[in-house]
Amino acid sequence: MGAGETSLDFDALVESEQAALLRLARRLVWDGEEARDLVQSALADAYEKRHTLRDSKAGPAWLRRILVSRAIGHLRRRRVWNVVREVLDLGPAAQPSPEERFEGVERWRAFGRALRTLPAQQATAFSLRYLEGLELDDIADAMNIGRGTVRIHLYRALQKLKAADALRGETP
Amino acid sequence: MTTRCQDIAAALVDERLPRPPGLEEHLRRCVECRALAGLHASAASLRLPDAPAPAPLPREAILGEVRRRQHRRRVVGSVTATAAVVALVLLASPRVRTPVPVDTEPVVGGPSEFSLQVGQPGSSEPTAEPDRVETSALAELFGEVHGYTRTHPSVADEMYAPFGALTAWVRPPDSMALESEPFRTALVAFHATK
Repeated sequence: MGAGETSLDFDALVESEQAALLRLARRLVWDGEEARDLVQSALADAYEKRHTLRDSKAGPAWLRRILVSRAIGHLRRRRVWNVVREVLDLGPAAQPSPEERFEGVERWRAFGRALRTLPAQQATAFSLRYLEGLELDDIADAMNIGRGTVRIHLYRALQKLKAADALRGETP
Repeated sequence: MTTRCQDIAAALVDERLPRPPGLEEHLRRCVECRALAGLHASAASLRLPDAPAPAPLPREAILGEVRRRQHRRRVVGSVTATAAVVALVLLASPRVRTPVPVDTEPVVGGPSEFSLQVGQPGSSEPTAEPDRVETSALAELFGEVHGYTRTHPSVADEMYAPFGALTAWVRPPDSMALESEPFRTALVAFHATK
């Protein structure tokens, strides 16, 4: 991305982590195109802040933190927009994403819709824990919150998904 | 939800927490905690199907996004700076008051109510003689107002002739002071004393 050791490291970091970031973003926002835009914005953020990264070993976690922060903002805006759309009766909500149509399974579609209705922090914590399989410490680091707060988000997300009948005591 | 249930829920969600004693017994008795344990197990076993991986982002796409942001920041910065300068100039400049048109100019130092009644046309009552002080004040006032309200001095003056129509543009506004009622009344009194 330019001259100098840091920029070369940044290039290597982006190259090695980009696939994981795209996968994570897709899990968080449930849409391939949105995930791509999100990763692009997150990598641009990272490029602008690349001088703040002191330890190159912390690079992957650093990139994930930036991406999760972007994703939470994106989910918040999307949720607000969905509420506004319903209130103003601007038509049906967004069409099912390719991910929701992927298997053509109605339950997955309902699950994706229910996940989208969760508050951004709860949806993110849930996705990182149960869809990405991260440990609670890693989730806390990625979301820049405490471990206890992660537990609360997970508990509330489980309760709301159960209330929405998107999650039962069995695997969909 | 009891404190016991909260401990159980925390232990279910966070597997690194020590499992509270009597967990299994509590789960058998408490419906809510049993449901939560089922939900957690169900969520933990979720396996999303792998969708096709999005195409990787080329380096130029990332740098292009960085450049667009820098451009946006420059535009926003220059607009903000311009607005700040304009606001500063507006705040610092002296305020110009719009002159309010007045129908009747007040005559400062004019004749008193008594003197204005002196010599009014058609007055049949005997009038008192105005004193000399008032007369001289009226004379000064008359000369002063007349001097101010000369008609188009720049147009009438030959010195300004080479400037042509410009003199008409720079002429002072017409004054209606001599037309006002108090002044005309004063003039009547003034001429009567002459």
